This record gives sequence, structure tokens and C-alpha cells, in this order.
Amino acid sequence: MTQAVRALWRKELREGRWKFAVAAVVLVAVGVSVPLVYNLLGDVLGELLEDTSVPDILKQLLPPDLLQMDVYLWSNWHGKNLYQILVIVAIIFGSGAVAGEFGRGTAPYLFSRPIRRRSVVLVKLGTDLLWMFAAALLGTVALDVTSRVAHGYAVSWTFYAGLVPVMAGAAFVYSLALYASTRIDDPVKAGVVAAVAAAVCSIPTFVPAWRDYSVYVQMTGRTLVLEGAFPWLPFLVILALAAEFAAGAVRRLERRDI
Amino acid sequence: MVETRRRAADEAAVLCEGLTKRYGDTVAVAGVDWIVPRGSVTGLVGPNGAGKTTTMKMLVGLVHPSGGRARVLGCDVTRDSLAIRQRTGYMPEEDALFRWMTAEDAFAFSRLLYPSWSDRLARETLELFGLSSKVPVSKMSKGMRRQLALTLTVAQRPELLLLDEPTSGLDPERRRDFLNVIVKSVAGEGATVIMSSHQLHEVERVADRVAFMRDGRIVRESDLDSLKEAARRIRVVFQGAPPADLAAWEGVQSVDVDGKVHVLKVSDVDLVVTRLKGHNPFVVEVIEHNLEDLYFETGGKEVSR
Repeated sequence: MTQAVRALWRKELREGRWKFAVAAVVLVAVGVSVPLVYNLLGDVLGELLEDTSVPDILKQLLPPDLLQMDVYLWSNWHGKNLYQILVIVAIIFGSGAVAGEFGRGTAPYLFSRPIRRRSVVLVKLGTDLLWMFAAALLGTVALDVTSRVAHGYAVSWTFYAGLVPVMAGAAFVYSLALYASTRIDDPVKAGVVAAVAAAVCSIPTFVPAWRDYSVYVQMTGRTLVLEGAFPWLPFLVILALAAEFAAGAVRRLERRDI
Repeated sequence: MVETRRRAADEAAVLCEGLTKRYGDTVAVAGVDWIVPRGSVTGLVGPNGAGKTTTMKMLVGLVHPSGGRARVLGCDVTRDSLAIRQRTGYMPEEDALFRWMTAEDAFAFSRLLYPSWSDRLARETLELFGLSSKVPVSKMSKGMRRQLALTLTVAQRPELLLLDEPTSGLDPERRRDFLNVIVKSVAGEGATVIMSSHQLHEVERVADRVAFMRDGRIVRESDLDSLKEAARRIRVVFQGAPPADLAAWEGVQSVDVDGKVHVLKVSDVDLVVTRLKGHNPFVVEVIEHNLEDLYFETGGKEVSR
């Protein structure tokens, strides 16, 4: 690592810390709340099953293992909250990465320093993913600790391994937003464009035959919990797509005038 | 011929040949040919939209040229932009510093970027401006930000300083300190300075060369003394009839007549004044031009170099 790149790492880590702090607070709050509402859910379900006015056919629709702790934690963390929050965080980080420099008026200063534009993009990508991973890890640790304290239940290693596919998906969404950020100088507009693109990517989620092609479905890491197998192929495909968008952002930034 | 051009390129801090920048149908810079000698302080003056900022941005690699070529410190602006930026201090027109940084943070950032960085020079310049090293840029006034930006630019000890409207928004006292720092930087480090400004008296104070830019072209460029010398005029009022062959005198380039007043454009002031005195004129006076006069004289019309 050159001295110039080291200087850039320090700058980016410093600039990303408040976004990280907000993301970490949200994820830790959600991570703590998931095990705490387990009993509440149990009570509600108990009442539902005992309620004679609810048709039996509806009661049979409830999965029998819904109140199993490992299934409950996974479905409420990896299957829902974590990836949804990370997608939003990735859009916020990515759309501000380059457009933020233009929006704040710092682009002429930054890009007239002796640093390659590609290094600027790669360092921003590296630091932002690091912050996102740290926030996701903190939220997961908070969930694990709360689960141990409240229920005496420790999550398995696969629960932590689930952070890998969810981070791959976050990297994909981040790269999408990063690309928008190199084309649109306003970070809010870049964020809106990235959010629309991310929403379009969710279409396969709602078509049963296409579900496996949804990046968001893959972010939940369901094969890890269902089969104990790491989803290598989707993981590599998502990473390749993320790399292509990041490379597109580099090419775009290198061509443009500041 | 090739050897001469190569030598000129090596000796010049900046060498532009037909440097052009187009934005769609708009031509921002229209084939600039320009040589800036090493160690010179050049004022780049011209009206808004003349292409000064775009030219500077092309030199430092922020804007890609559409045509022509340029070399800065012997390096090609399109191929060796990184090398140029390592040796060039660019101070943009806008307040472009990172808002959260204090002077200390900015020094730490720049120290890693520039091997030639001088902490001593940075602290001295900061003290000269009376700036605190602990105040973040977001809490500084516009003038303080400009001073910090110049401090950072000077302390990297660049071979070339590109200063785009460096004194805009500064009060007269701060402007004076600012110009002193620039002069000191040139005297102490032997740097080349290119400074764009609308403050013509400031350019006149620090620059030894001046380039006039208009409609994307450099329309006049010379060392300041020669330019002023060439622009001198003689106003003469004769007691009787003027010499019939006045316009044909050696050293006289043109004669404008307004009643009894004759204004002579000359190439050799002393020669012509001596000869005029032999005709017992009522008044003979040499009219000096400052940069502002030259600026307006150049305004709009193209003058060959």
C-alpha cells in the first residue's frame, strides 16, 4: 500500500464513521429485540392456536417449527431484518461515495491530489464494505448475546457464516449505488436511482420459479440453515456482478471531467 | 527544429500546443499555444468564461483535453497526470477542502501524499496567517479556508503552483499576506507560479509575466516589463506646426492626432523624446500603462505575440 493510498484509507474511514454509527445502532437495536420478542410471539401464537374462532385450516398453515429457536432467529435476522437494513445502508454508503465529493464541493481538491481515480473508488469501496460488515457483525453479536442471556440459547457457527452471503449481496447493491454515484453528482438523486435499480432487482423474489435468481433471497443464506451448505455458486455470481459494477464505476470516473 | 522544440519542452514549466477543450458544441478552450518558463510567476488574466479555469484543470489532470497537447514539468498531461500532480500544487477556485479536517488533519493527510512535504513550512505559513491548527474547516471563514488551502499548497513544496483566483474573498490585509507567501515561495523554493486573477494590481505586484486570455485563447503573452514598455505612449503638443514627416520618424510606429495633441506609439521612447525636444514642443510627456490599461487595451481584439 502506497503512502497516498494509506492517506486515503484514513480519510475514508474517518468520513464513514457516522454512517457506520447510525447503521450499527439500528442493527444492534434490532439484533437485541429479535430474541426479546420471542416469548411475545410464543404467547401470540399460543393464543391463536387456542382461539376456536380461527379456522383450523389457517392454523395448519403455520409452520410446525416456527417457535423452534434456531429457525425463529434465522428467519427474523438473516431472513428478514439484516438483509433489508443492509440494502438500505449499502445504498446510502454507495450513492454518497463519489457523488458526495461533488455535492460537498471537495472533488477538485481530492482528484487533484496524486492519487489515481481508480484507487479512490477502490478505497471507498473497501472502507465502506468494512464499515457495513462491522455494523452487521455488531448486530449479530448483539443478537447472540441477548439470546444467550434471555433464553440460554447460543447460535451456531452457521449463523455467523450467514454474514458472508449477506455481505456479498450488500457489496452488489453498494456497487450498483457506486456506479450511479459516478454518473449523478447529487448523492440524493444517485440514491434514488440506485434504490429504483435495487427494487427492480427484487422482481425475481416475487416469482416462485425465479426465486433462486433473486440476490435478496440469496442474501438470506437459506441453504446454510436448511442444508448446512454454503451457497458457493450464488455467492460467486453475486460477487462477480458487484465487481463488474465497481469496474464500471472506475471506468466512468476515469473518463469524466471534474 | 525538433531539437529546439524538445529543448523548449524541457526548459518550460508548461508547454501547450493547440490545447483544446470542447463541451458538446461549446468550445471552452480553443487551441491554446503557450510556454511558461520555469521559475517565472505568470498572471493569467481574462474575463469570466475566457477558459482560464478549464486550462488550469487540464494542466493538473482534472479535465481531459479534446485536442492538442500539453506538457507540465516535462510530463504529458494525459499520460503522466499522476507524476504531474505529485510535483504540482493546485489551489482550486472553490472552497474544496474536506470540511471535517482541522489544519492538523490536513497536514497529516498531505504529509502522506507528498514526499517533499515540509512541516516547518506549513507551521510557519499557518502562523503567518494567524490560523489555529485545531479548528475544523467547517468552522473557518472563507478567507481562513483560502489561507489554509494556500498553506497546504505551499508546504508541499511543489515545482509548479497553479493558483485559480487565490485571493477571491479576502480582505486587503489578508491579500497582502497571501501575496507575500506566494512571493516567498517563489524566492525560497524556485517554484514556477501560474496565478489566475481578476485583481490586476495583485498580478502586477507579483507576476513577471502575464498572459491575456479571451474566448478560449491566449491573445497576448509576454513578460510584464516588455509589455508595459511596448505599451508606452508619448503625448506631445507642438507650439507650431508638427514635423511633416513625424509618422516616418525612426522609432515611431503610429501617430494619433486629436486637435493639437499628438499621441505617438513608439518602439524607442528615449530616441523619440530626444528628437521631439529639438522641435521646442509645448508639452512632451510619456504615458505609462499599468496592467489594467493593458487589459482593457487587449479587450476583445486579438494581438499577435
